[in-house]
Amino acid sequence: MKRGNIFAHFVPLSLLLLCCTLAMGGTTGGKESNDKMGFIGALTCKDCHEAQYNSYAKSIHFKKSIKGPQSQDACETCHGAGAKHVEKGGGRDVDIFTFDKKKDPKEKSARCLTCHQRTPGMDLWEMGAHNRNDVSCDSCHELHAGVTQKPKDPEVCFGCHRDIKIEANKRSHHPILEGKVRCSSCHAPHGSLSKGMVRADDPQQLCYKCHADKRGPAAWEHPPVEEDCQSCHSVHGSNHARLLNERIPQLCQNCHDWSRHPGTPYDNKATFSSRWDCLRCHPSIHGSNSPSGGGMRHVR
Amino acid sequence: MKRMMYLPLAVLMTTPSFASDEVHGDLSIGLRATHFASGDESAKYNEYLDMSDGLFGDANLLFDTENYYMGFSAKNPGLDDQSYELWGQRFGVAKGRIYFDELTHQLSLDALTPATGIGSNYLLTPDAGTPASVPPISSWTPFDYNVERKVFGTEFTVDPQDKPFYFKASMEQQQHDGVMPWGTTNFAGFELPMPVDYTTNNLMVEGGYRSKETTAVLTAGYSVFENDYDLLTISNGTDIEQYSTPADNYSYNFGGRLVQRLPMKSVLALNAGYTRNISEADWRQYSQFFSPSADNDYDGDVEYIRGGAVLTSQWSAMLDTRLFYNYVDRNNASEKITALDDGTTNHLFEYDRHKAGLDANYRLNKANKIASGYEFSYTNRNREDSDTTKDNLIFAQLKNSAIEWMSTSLRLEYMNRSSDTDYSAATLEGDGLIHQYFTPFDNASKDRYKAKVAVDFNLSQGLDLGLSYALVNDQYDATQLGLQDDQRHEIYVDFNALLPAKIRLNTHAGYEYTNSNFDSRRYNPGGAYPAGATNANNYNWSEETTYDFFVIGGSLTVPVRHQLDLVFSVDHQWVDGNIDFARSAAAGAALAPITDADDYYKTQFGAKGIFQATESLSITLGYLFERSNLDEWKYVNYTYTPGSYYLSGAGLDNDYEAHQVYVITKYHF
Repeated sequence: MKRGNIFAHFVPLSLLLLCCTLAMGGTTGGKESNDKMGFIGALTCKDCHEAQYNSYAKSIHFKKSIKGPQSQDACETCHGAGAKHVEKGGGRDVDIFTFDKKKDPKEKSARCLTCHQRTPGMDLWEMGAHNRNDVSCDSCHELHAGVTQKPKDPEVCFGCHRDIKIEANKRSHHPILEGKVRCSSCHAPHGSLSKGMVRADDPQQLCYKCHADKRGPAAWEHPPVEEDCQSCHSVHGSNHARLLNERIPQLCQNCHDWSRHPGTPYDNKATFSSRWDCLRCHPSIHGSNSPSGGGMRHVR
Repeated sequence: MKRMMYLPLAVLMTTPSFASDEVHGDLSIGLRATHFASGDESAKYNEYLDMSDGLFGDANLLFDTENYYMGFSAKNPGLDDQSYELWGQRFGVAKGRIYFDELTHQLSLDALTPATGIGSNYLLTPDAGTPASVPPISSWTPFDYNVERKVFGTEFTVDPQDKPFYFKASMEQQQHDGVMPWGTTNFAGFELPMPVDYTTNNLMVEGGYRSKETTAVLTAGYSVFENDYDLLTISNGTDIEQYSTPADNYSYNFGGRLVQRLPMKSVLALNAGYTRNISEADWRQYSQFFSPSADNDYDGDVEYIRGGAVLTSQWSAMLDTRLFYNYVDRNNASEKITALDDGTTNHLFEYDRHKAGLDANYRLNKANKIASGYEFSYTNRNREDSDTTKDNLIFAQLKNSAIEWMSTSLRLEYMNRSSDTDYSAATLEGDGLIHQYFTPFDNASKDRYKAKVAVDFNLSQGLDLGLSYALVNDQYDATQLGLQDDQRHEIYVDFNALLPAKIRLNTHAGYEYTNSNFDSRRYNPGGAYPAGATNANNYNWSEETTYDFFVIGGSLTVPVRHQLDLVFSVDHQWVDGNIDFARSAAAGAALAPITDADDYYKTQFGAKGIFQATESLSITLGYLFERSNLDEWKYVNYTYTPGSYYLSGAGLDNDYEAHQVYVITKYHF
């Protein structure tokens, strides 16, 4: 099969489809709220909250063409009816819902889910680690700002995941800081059924997406490779070469002892340790396809 | 060229919609020059990005209308790390993006080899059996270990807001081209530059139905991997050696999930999936044929079957729970072979894993929340050295936010792992006797203790301090030979402040300490018994590995005048690794410690001034200093010809001191 034949037309066709989609007429229309008791309208809010109103006006939530806040009740869609708040002369949290830091995260997210529960991928929000650890939508999204609302990745993630920020900056790392791999390339921040909210049913299948050369199945397998890449690799970053959990030969010797060289201590006088590591002779560590029996030792 | 015909058509259809619409964006153009103190750049400096001298820049455009938006970004056009993306969304209807991303993964620059044919899958080496035939290093051929990756892709989501159905599709092509290190030859001991010419195509589709109570999703994926060089041949003019490389393979998967909202704010999710990976290694290319195979190739065939269920329930405003179970079964239907050269038979690895658990969050009051849970995992393998593994894990967590400006959390976790092997003592013999005493660490029985405490201070608007400490302690008490214990301590600090005069300070620091102890036995055939004789060839030994890792960094932004900001940044990290060995005096002289195990430091310093010439035009003038040094024992006093081997310098190119000046003009519109 000539490389890419199947895919040759997909990208330009996608471009065409993207443009056609944008050029289509019509809107989805807005559904008017049935219960407007106590609603005062966005312009009343603007009288006191001009800065917030102006930022909101530039956001996607202001678009009239979607069934969002603007097409319904603007500020009050998310903050609740404002009449009592105005009657009492305003004030933080006075008869109005705010997205303050101290507010119950689930209560805040529930406001967003009123509209966004239908968004693809949001169906697993309740069982995701973020929801269960008090992360709410506004922890990552600036609700008033921007058209795309996409959080800065990885900066926003690093705000909470300090350990990952440090790991991603170590000598050996995936190009996360360089912007070539994003946290969201591997993780589904809105929830997933997998551990660590990774975007696959098990981590190996996710790794194979970019590292398909390791997918095999090889004639001579290395079982830890097939079961869990993280047996040997620290995926975010490591102080050892090749994102390894430990230096070689120590990492290999943690599993392999046999007569002669596998069980030999390689101190700073040993030629093996000073010039060679295990991979020099056993390079096919992710699995060998050799017809020779040397494949079992991943030599060929 | 045919595919380019779509472009003008697409633009024509879109153009009328842009009339009178708002356009936002920015355009940056920069110029940089770098001086290397040693006069030589390093692969580590350019590891993923193209930092070459000259022009660089990026452009971002956004058409923002009432009904849709469309964006375009271009980063570093023309450079080896260039990327382009076109994306858009019609609100409430669909969204999509098309992208191209390139990176160059520099592994080692200026490597050397006496072999010819670098970059191809046929390497011709001198005859190492006749040392005089190997030319002097000064005449070896220089080359770079470098793999370039190009990714073309597109994603689409059709998500009509007023319809219960949605559809997603994505397709991506990844191309990897270059040369990477690949061990050494047997007969000649030459370190091999292996050619890389991989193409991976990934396709994924997803369709879903959602109502207020129910979401049902079906997914399918297809992936093809092709390696243009699926065999590496080395010849010294007389003999030939051949090495297998990653075989062509493909994979397909399909799955589905059903999410049902139940009474009491409960949500039930059920999922199931199937993945099949298939490979084919062509053995007809081998000059020597060692294994019998009906069709002269090797057929790999592995399937994964998965299933799971999760139930979350909100019992009250204070209590919520999660109950889960998942299952994966790896079945291996690959070809069983017996190599003709040594009678070795391949092992078709299979396993299945069941995992279940329950956890609960209980809000004691507005300021205090506790969480606790239990997980059980059972793995069964057809692997003699690790037959079954049972994990029992419990955890408890407390979060407190009683003080307005402070929140704390404490998490404690304990896991007991119980593993057994499938060896029969009666059948173990020879070197294999070691299996009675030595346990591989990856599935060994152990107790794991974890603790993590974090304190976050929000002292005032714009003044934050975060502290965290974590401990992980693995104890392998049931292991006689193998890893005995492994400890890890981590301390991290973040401090961010918005000071008077709009001075902004962001700092972070971290310290990690790891320590592990390992026992093993060195033996010659017949000497596996740990209580056996101790002499120069048969002895027990132990190893203690310790690593210290420090990192400190931050940035300071000082507005000097209304239009001028000065930004200073610094980052320093340092690794100190030590490995101590011990053995009985009867085994010989004391083993010498390795005091430079992955020892490393990197220092960065940056200073720049950002001058806001007008509301839409800024000019940045900056200087960046970066120095990095790796002192790893393997590379200290490195020589290309240790004994009868011939190395190429793979992994050697780590050190540099770079000084860069740059100017960037950025225009907003």
